[in-house]
Amino acid sequence: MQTIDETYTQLLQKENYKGVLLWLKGLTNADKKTFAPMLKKLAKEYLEPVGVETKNSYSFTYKANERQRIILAITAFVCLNRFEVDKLGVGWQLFEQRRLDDVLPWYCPNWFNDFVNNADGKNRSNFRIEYLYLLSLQQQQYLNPSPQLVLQVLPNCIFEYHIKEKLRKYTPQVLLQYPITLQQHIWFLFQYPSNINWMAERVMQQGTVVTNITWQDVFINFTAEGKISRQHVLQEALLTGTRNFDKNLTGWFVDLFDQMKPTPAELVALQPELFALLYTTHSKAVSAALQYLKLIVQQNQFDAARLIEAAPVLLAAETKQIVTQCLQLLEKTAKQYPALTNDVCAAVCHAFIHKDDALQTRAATLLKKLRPSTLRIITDNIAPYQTSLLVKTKELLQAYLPAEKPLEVEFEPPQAQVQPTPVETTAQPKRLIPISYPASVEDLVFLASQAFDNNQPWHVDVLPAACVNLHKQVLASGNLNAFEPALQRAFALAGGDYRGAQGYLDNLLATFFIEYCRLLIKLAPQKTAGLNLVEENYFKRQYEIQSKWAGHVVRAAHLVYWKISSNEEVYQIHKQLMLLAYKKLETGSTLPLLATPTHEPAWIDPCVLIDRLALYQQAGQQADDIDLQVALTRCQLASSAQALAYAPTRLTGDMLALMQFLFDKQATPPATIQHPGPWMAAALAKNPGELDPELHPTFFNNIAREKLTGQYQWQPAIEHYTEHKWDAATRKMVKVPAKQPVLELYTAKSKAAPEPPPAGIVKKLLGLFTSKAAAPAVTATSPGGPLIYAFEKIHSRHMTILDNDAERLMYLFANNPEPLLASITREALKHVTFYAEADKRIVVATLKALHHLFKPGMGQMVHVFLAACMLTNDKTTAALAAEIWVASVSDNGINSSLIGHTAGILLAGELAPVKRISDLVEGCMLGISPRHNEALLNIFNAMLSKLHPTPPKGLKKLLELYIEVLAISTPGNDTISAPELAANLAAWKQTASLAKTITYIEGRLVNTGAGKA
Amino acid sequence: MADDIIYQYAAPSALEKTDKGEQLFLAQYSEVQKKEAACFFWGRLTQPQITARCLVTLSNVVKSSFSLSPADLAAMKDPIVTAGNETLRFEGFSHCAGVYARVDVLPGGHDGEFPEAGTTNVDFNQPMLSALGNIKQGEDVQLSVGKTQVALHSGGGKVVERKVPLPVKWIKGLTSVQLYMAAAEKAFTFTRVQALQLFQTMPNGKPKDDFYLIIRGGRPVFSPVKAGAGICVGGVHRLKLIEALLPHINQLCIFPHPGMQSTTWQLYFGDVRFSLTLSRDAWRGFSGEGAALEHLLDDIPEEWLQLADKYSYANQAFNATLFAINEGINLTTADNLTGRLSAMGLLGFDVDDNQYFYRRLPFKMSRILTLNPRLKDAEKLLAEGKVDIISHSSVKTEATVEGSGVRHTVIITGGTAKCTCTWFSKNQGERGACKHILAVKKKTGNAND
Repeated sequence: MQTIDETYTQLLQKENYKGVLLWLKGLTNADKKTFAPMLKKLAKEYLEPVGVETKNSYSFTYKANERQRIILAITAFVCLNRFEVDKLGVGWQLFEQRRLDDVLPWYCPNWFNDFVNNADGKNRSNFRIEYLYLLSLQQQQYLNPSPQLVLQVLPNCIFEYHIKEKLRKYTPQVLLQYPITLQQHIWFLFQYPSNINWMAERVMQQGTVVTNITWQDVFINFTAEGKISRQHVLQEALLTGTRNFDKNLTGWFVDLFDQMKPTPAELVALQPELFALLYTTHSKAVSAALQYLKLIVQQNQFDAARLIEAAPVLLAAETKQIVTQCLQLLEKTAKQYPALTNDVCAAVCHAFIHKDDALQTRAATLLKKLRPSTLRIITDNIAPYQTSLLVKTKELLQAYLPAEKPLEVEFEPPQAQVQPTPVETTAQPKRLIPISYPASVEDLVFLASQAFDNNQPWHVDVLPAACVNLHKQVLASGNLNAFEPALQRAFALAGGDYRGAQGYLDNLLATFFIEYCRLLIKLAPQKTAGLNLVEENYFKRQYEIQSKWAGHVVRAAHLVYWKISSNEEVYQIHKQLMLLAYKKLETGSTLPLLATPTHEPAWIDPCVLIDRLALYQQAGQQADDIDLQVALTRCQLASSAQALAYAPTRLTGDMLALMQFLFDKQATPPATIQHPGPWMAAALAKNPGELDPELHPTFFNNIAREKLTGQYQWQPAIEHYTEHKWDAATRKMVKVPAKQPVLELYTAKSKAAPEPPPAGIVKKLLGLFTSKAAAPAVTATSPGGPLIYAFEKIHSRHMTILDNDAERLMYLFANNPEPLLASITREALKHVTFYAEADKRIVVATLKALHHLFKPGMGQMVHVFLAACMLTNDKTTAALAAEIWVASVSDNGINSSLIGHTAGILLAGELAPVKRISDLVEGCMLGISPRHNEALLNIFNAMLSKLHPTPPKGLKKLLELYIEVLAISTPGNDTISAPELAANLAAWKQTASLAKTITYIEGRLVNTGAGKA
Repeated sequence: MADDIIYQYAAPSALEKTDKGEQLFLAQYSEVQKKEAACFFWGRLTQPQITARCLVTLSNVVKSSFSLSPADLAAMKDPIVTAGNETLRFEGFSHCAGVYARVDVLPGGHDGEFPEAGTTNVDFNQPMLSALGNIKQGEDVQLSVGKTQVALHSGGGKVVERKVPLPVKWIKGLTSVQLYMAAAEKAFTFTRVQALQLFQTMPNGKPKDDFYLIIRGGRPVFSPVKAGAGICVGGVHRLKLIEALLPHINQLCIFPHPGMQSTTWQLYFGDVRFSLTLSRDAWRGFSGEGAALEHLLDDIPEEWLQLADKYSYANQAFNATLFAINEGINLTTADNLTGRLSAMGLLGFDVDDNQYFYRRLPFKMSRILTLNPRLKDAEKLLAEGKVDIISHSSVKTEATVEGSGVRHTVIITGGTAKCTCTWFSKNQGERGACKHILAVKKKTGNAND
């Protein structure tokens, strides 16, 4: 006789659904309990995914076919408890093809209702219950569906999918089959969040395809046919705005209300709901409510008091349209109810929170027009907004304004806090913070354990240097195995396990540390069993993975072979430094690395550099070229007089001459130079942006001067490319020639910016010939020996973790970062608008580094970079660039006219809309201090001069800001752009919408003399 | 697998219109105080519109998540309310436990009575929240927490059950956020206009970088670069949760943690306050910060805990120093007592009064005390004999602790402890001690060093 298990297994194998049902009916509770373990085993065998690996792919499959899955689901439902059914995740299959009808008449567990209603989020989304089936179950009293369950299935029910015809049909009649639908369920749509707003289908209706059929059609038709109450739909549609639904759903109900075209009488009746809508956070709903209130403001029943009550909230709204609508409504209210004039005036003052010319002018004009009973109504209510008032507003409201207070008085600091100074900028005092350096093996152990996390940008330099310095102590130490955790982490990273802020440099550092530990194992095998075991475990684990995944590459982590897939040259400098450190460790040399920074973020104290070089001289050793060049580039030169005096006490010969050349800005190089690399690095460190006239003609003359100074020529250009577009007529993707503005950098030798390459085949052919010429002409070992500037190029801007390295790469060129900056500009800022997240992250990281490295007198490239950043579509990037401007203006270190000049050209080249600079100026640059205002005026004068005589979109706002800047700044001595500016103003004046603003500006310019030649 | 918690409400919370005005009934449930028909508050709200908006904002905080996937958001957690000492406090956390919000209805903010003091979960359901959005200024609104005299519910309705995964992060957050708030000091006070101006400078989207609140040109602004005494705000977009309340405020005060590990943004509306406390970053929850761990290392005499618990009542100020003086305990131990009571879910913190207040979380103590995995892991390390003390003196302790395939070094010198493990290396002690340090401290008994 067959056992229960055997019988069932046979039925399952034969896919005998009816047989299983009969068999299940006959089971007692005890049978079910006995059978449960077997069922779970079978379910695991049949329902769990099984991996199938072929040579090139890995996929999943299941043992059960569809029929067997249904059999298992029904069996589980009958034999297992709720928890077990949940765990198997078969709930959704119970409802397929109404299979439960075969079971529920003879078995409905008491947990069924709760199971369907309260399944957790994961299972609930899997329930595919038809709405009508749900109602049928409810009618048979098996189920009492919760609103959430109803809303999960109801939205879909009016679109029935026909598999054969491969189309949907619009079936609103479904809603009429059970009375409960219109009595209760349809109203859940207004009370609880649902996905009703995403239901817009392309359906077949009476033989033709109709697009965008939505639930709004249902409501409109049903109310028109009297099936549901129109008044109720209108009221509920408005109330959804107060129910904390998301923006899209709220907007959908606003559209529904709109499409139902409410009459004025209906709107009057719906006033409480309309006023409640004014407090929602969704601008579309607020705007709609204001629009409808405007239609009934002249009706007697209009509740003006509630509008005035809501005005402070409405006028503080971020959306300009809401503020405008509110002001319009207030104006109408005052006109309709003269007794409320004072209240309206008080409310209107709240609009001055917005530093927007149009809004303020409208509010100020309204105040002047309304004439409250006493001036104090305006004076008192406008006082809190005095700092936000624009020049034109002040002129309009002169009679109501108290004497202007200084800016800082407006700010109320807490008692405990020191009164802020009138101007607090982001300018940090140029106080250098010493880097904490490991003094013992214990310190080294803790440094090594965190060095690969990129907690500090200097860790990548300090760890190799500390290993060299402490190597003898490490070997003498009895506790070499204390490096175990660091080595384990190094292997994890070298094996490709990147986390958080880690970049390729951390991988390189990890590889260096692995090599160092290998050296320790070699030199002190008896003390390093733990380290050895860590390495063995790493390879063991790697080979285990490889045995499972054929494509897995076991990385051996050897420093000399270290490279990244795109083979970026810029990483070669750090690699070279680490190879040098390893060589020192291998040979037992105690001479320090020269390039290790002593102060944050990457500066070297010049006297420390002299001491380090003295050690080399005493040992009769030649310093490594790359190491010395990085050291010279990082040497802090702000107070070099002391170092100039100190150098002769410690150094002699070539090194002394090199240091004196570095510290003395006027010094010239000697006639004979053996190692030109360091001399070139020193020349560029002390005079960045310039080439030494005695060095460059002789050495490295095959490297373009721009590559060394970073001072590329630049211009906006048009890039032609091919884009793929969807062609609705042919229903295919087609290639379409397209063009876009780009920022191009080029060298003087290339005469002019490259011609835009022609599109199509000609472009490809030309590309074949030009590709060789475009190959890099310079290698690291150009005549004159290696030079760090030969490595600075970045090729692959889409590298996902380059941004974690960008800051540290910038610090390699601390005194002369502009060549690398040019490289980053060329790659990541080419379009000014960021199309890739990686570009944005790289630029943000670069800006952070530049904030530390910026010093007065930097060259054109920095200004181009900053101006381009100010125009990007990422507000954080733009704000960071503005912060650098703010800080450097405080230090008198930036050429604001050049920023304006560059921004003007980029705007004229249509690389960015004018609005971006307007927003930035308004948010981050306006009204900081008199000095900043003057610098901002220089930006405006230069920028406006470079714009096209044909006014670009958004110019009016920019000109309004110009008026503000003119009003708050004293004219400087910037006169370079005056004729062009005057010409542009004259040209723009021809445009009617700008004429008034420009006349105002011209008046200002005449009064102040700003912009005059 | 996480435990479930089943909220069992006698009836759903609801806002109903009656002849006398609006009646807001908040259904309560506490798994530790299952008395039938407990009523914590019954009375009129003097600022109904503001209170309603604050409660809606609290519900938005509770529904929000800044680091979890939508799948984790399936079950909404209900806020808790503490009623007593003439004050009502509604508290809640975002799902990710990185944002803590509290609505305080102070004595002037209501005109009612507190039949019973205590802390309980309150049912925040969608229809009630929808109704809250409709409350108008000056409307007469009666609030009832717990049993209500409203006829609608007096007949006793069907029990409303909502089963959600036990909000472990919540409970952990509620047991540690107050330690950050207690360390915070007021840095700025802004008027309504200044607060609105500040929020106008909020960056769009969800910036990953830190932003700083600085004063520039006499105005507060958010800047991506630190300046002067700027306050660091990680995950600044989370502040958008309170944006809708700003037009209604009298003033805004900001209380940063001295180590910038949190910021508390307190909005004042007369006798109603709303405070929002943000964790260091959007991806960090207060639940994982380990602020209370060190306090839990030392054994506190059980009778002191019982004493503090027994004689305190809801919303009563708890002064550890006074307690120490009265009981003759040294101040360090009293400080640990505060930490311990917080970790047990018995204390909250009011930044305005700068003191702790008593409230007993409505969750079983057995659940609460099992919520510190790092401490449990440390105890496991000790139990398995994985901690070796190399040297121990009053100045320095050196130890090794067995980790996964390696031995970690732990050094404790003076008040500083460091470890070579990944957790410590990454966070450098900012997020509390790692399990290795805790184990060594527990073994050597120098938790207070």
